[in-house]
Formats: sequence, C-alpha cells, structure tokens
Amino acid sequence: MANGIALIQAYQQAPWRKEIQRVGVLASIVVAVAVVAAGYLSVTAAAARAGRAVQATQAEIRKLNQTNEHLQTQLGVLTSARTMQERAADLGFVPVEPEQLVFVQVPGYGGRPQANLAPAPQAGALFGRQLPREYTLSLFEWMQDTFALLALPGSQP
Amino acid sequence: MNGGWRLSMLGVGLAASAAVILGMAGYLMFGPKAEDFRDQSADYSVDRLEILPPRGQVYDRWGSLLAGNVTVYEVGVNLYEVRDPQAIAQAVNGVTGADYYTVLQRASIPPGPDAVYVTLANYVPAEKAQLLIDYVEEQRNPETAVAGAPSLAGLTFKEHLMRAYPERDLASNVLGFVNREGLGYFGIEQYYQDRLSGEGKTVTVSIDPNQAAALPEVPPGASLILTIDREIQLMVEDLLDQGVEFYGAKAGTVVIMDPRTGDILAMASTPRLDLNEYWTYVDVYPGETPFNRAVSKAYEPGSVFKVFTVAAALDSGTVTPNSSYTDIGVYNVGGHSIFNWNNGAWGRQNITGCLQHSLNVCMAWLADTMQPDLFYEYLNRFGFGRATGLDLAGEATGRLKDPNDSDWYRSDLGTNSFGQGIAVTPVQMLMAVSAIANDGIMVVPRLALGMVDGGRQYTFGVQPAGQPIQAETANTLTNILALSLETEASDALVPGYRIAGKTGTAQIPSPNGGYLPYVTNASFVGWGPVDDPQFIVYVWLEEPSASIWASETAAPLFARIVERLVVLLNLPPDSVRAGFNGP
Repeated sequence: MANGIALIQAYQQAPWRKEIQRVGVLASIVVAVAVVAAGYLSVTAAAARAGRAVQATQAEIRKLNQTNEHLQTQLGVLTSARTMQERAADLGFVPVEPEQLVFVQVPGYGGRPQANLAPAPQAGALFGRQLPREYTLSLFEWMQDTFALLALPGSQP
Repeated sequence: MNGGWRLSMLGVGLAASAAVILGMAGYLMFGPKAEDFRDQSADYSVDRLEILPPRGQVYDRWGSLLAGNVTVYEVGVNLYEVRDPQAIAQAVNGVTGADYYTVLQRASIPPGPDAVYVTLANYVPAEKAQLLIDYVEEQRNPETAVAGAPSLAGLTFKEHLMRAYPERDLASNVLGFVNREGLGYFGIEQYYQDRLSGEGKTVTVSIDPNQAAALPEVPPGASLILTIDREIQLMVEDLLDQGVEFYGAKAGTVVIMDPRTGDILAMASTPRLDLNEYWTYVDVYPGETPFNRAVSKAYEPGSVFKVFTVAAALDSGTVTPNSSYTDIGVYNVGGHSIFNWNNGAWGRQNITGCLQHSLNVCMAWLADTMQPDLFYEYLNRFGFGRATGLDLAGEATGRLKDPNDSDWYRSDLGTNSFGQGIAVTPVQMLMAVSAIANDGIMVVPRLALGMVDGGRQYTFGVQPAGQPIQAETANTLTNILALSLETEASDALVPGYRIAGKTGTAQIPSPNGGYLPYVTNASFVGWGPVDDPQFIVYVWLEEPSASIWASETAAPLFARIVERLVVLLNLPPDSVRAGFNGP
C-alpha cells in the first residue's frame, strides 16, 4: 500500500505543472474564442461595408436617373422651338417663301422618319432583361444538369 | 477569514445586480409592454422609403421634348444643428424668395423629440439651391471656411423631380399640366395620368447594412409620342395670335388634322398658359373660360355645317350636283320661315350655287326633302352629338336634337340644315369632314402616336369611325366645294394648291333666347390638295370685330396658315406633284 502511494506520488505532476496545464487549457479556449470572434467580426465588417456600398450605389443610381431626366429637359429647353427660331434669326436666317422652294423627287426616300425612342416590341421578349441561366442556377440544379450531361452517351467526366 | 465577509458582500452585490439586469431584460422581452418595445425597435431599425418613378416624358411626332422633369430641391433644417436662425432665414429668403419671417420662425423652433426637421422651402430650382449648397460646403471645409461668417449649419437639401415644360406655353392647350402632387390637369397630362405617372412604391429598408438588399425596381411612367408637329404648332399659334389681334376677335381656335390617319398635327386655342407657372391658371382662364376650346367648347357652327346637309342629300340620292332649286328667298319648315343670310332671293341655283352663295333657304329645302329620319341618320353617322373619342381630357359632346327628343320641333330641321340650333366642337367638325376628305371613311382624331413603356416603343393604329358616305359622294362634294371657292375668288384660296372648303358665319345665341345682334362666330373648314387631301384645317374666330363675316376673317387666316403649312409638310404645289406622278 505504501509502495502504491509512493508510486502515485512519484508519477504525480508537480502542482506548478498542473497550474500551467489549467492555464494552458483556458488560454487555448480564450484564443479559440478570440479567433472565432475575430473571424466573425471580419466577415461582419466586410458584409457591412458591402451593404453600405450597395446602399450608396442605389442612392447614386437614383441620383443619376434624376440627373439624366434633368439634363434631357435642359436639352429640351436649349433646343425649344422658340429658342431655335431666335437663334436662326440671329444667324440671319429667314423663313423660306413657297415660291423659293425647289422640290426634287428622290426615289426610295420615304420622308422624315417619326420619333424612334426605343426598339419596337419583339415576340417573346416583351418584358425586361433576361439573365443567362448560369446566373440563377442553384447548386442542386447545377448538379442535376451535370449528371444529366454525364449520362449522355459519349460524354466524358 | 477577515476579508471573507467582504468577498461575500461583493458576490451578493454582483449577483443582485445581475439579477436586476436579467429581470429587466426579462421584463423588456416578456413583460406587458414587450410588444410595444418590439414595435419601437422595428421602427428604429428600418427606414421607409417612398420610391416615386419619374413621370413619363411627352414628345412631339419627331421626338422633340414637350414635357419632361427637372431636379428641384426641398430646403429644410435640422433643428438640433441650427446655430444662427437669422442667418438661415436671410440666406433662404435671399436665394429662394421664401418669406423671411416664416423661415426665421421655423428655424427657431426649439429642437425636441417632436421637432427634429422642418421644411423651409420646396421646389427650389437646382441652380438656386446650388448657391446655398456651395456656401454650406465652404463653411464645412476648414480650408475654405471664413472665420466669423454667418453659420448656415443645420441646412439640409433633398433633391427630387418636378414636371417641366421646355416649350413653356407651346401646345399648352393640348398638354395640360401637373400639379406638385403629381396629378395631371387638362389635356394629355390628365387623360394619360395613370400611364404617365407610373406606380410608386413605399418600401421598408433596413438601416442595418448587413441587411442591405436590392431595392425593388420601380419602372418609370410611360412616355408618350404625340401626333403634334412642334414646328406646325408654333406656326399655327403665332398666326392664330396675329389673326385674333388683327380681326379683333375675342378668342380663336385652329386645328389641323391629317384626314387619312386622324393625326392632330396642331391644335391651338386662346388663351394659353405658361405650363411652368401653372398656378397662374386662374388669372389666364378667368371664370368659365375653357382650357381648350377645340374640344371643350361647343358652339353653333353656322354655314360650315351646310357641307353635311349637302353630303347627306347627295349620298342619299335626294339630289345630284346638277339638281336645280329656285330660291325665292324664303322657305317654311314646321311653321318657321327660313331666310338667306342677306334676306335675298337668289333665283335658280344648282347645288354648287347653293354652297357657293351659302343659301340657307336651299339647305332647308334639302333637309325638308330628305325628311327628318334620313337627315338625322346622316348627322348621327357623322358623329354629331357625341364625343369623338379623341384622347384628350374634357371633350364636350355638343348637342344634336333629333325627332326622338322632347324639345325637338319640325322647325329644327330647317335651322339645323344650315348649322343653327345644333352645337358642335371643332374636333367633331374635323372628324366629320375627314369622311369627305378621305373617300368617305371617317377617322377618329388622335393625339397619341405611340408610347414608350418598359424600354419598348409601341405605335398606335389608325382608328376608323365608319363610312357615313360613299367615296363617290365625298369626291363629288370636295370638287363642288373647291369649285365654289374658285368661283367666288375666295380669300381662302392658296396659290398653287387646289383647296376645298366652306365658310361659316354664325349668329351667337343669347342667354335670354334669340340671337345676339352684331356678333358672330366666324369659321372656316378647308382641306387639300383636292386630288390627294393631306390636311384639314379648321379655323374658328369668336366675335371678330374687324368684320362679322367668316369670308373676310376666318377664310384669309386659313389661307395664311395653309401657305406655311404646305412648306412645313414638304408638300409640293399641284403642278409639281403632277409632274412627279408622271402621265
């Protein structure tokens, strides 16, 4: 019995070693938590920056659209009928008199084209933009497509 | 052991604090006011954003902008940041013209939970707002800030769009206007309000950047392409204004339409409004002044209406162009005696003579011979008494009595035949005349040529409105009217172009019954070139004082307009066109 106790005592770690082990475990936990926290913080900060960028871009888009509208109207003001009439008069132009006109027939000329502000509607593409399928594919759908492709005769992995 | 009780007390204190914190947290989360707290939290964590799509633009048929949008600013103040309310009031008053004392009173409001932001001025033009913005920026920048300069701290600027009309009053009667709430009044702006304004959305946006999401796409309002030709509109408005002044008329209206398509190329009416200052509407249109006389004011047209009586008589086979009638100066219908405009008797006349001399007696004879049912059936076919369907707000229907109405008398048959006792609008007359100028096929007048929506341009089709008369009748009548103008050497004639048309000098009904003395409505409707009509021009001068006769007022104004119109339409004279078409 005494020998057994002596053996245990002989192999028992010193108190200072036990203390170091406990501190080491605790420090490891703290470091692990700190690493996870730092990682989380980094990802969150990156997401926040991206979110702010999205919000700023959306605001910028709204502002650019407004500016576009404003500039189009300003252009309309600068080229308004009365303004153009005044500019023409300032440059010495006068309205043509009917007897001054010379008419020339130009084969194939269909006359002045009417306002063409946007493309005409096309069958099957009436509404909005279409994203390529690759941009909207889910992982599951991609796997389905890949397996289907592999199942085709003659296809290689 | 001595310090043990202190540690115990500290432990108890900390535990008690923790318990209080936990208890409070539990109360906040699960207590009776938990729902309110959650709502408040939700309010603070999101921002409600109202996304208003830009109002669609309006273009003329060639793509010139008639109505667009400009950036304007709402100038406000953040009350917590205000340092010098007097300086703010002085600056805002000086730049925007807002009342100094009102601005001062608002900028001096003590800040608090219910007073954070107040608006000082709205719809401030961009160039004016920019002066204030630049000053505020200078003050904020330490390098440019001037020590001791008045502080405009607290001023904020929010930009938004406002309707604007680059052509100011051009085609104002057609366009109408939009108020600051985005609601269209009159004209195209009212008629196409839903299409132009688009559909705004109010979205909830998280202020948490982690939850930033793409805003829903709010498509802009549809843009419209009108049938109006800006250059023709300008020419018509200028000549109409000159005509109204020269002939001393109270008001005037001119409308030009393509009889083949119903396209309104120009529609001018007096008075007109600078649409960028629409709030002057009450001054420009006092009382019951119509915004657009061409569609909203019905009147007795007088002799221009004889065109339809003769059209009905010819088409129904009641008479032929060579049928003769002996005018003894009076004709009795339903106990009512009809006289000519000069109370004269014109003797033996054919149908051309009846129109050339504008004989009321002859028209009453034609209508009486046709009998009421046939006569009014034709007038109904021509669309009188109902709206044309023109895409413009405020169209009047006019009034056409017929034998089914309780207030119709047989004598009305006689007076209606020469345009009395019937009320029409200029656009009704144009639509009806389109049948005569377009081989018998009548077309609905239209102002919208197409629309741009969702990035695509849609073109509207021509809308036929029936065929009230045969093509042969239409061509015969056109030639009769052209011949009658040429025979009387009318002031409506245009060198180089064969024109068909008819004058109308109509008495004006008195509110007390009967007709007003010495005042008339002078009208002229004409179309050409006769061999291939490409325009109809309707001229209406109200109460011209230079002469009561349309032949001396409306007819020469018509000729002046057509002389310019053919140039703007690139329409060669008849002889040149004949050469182009070859033998």
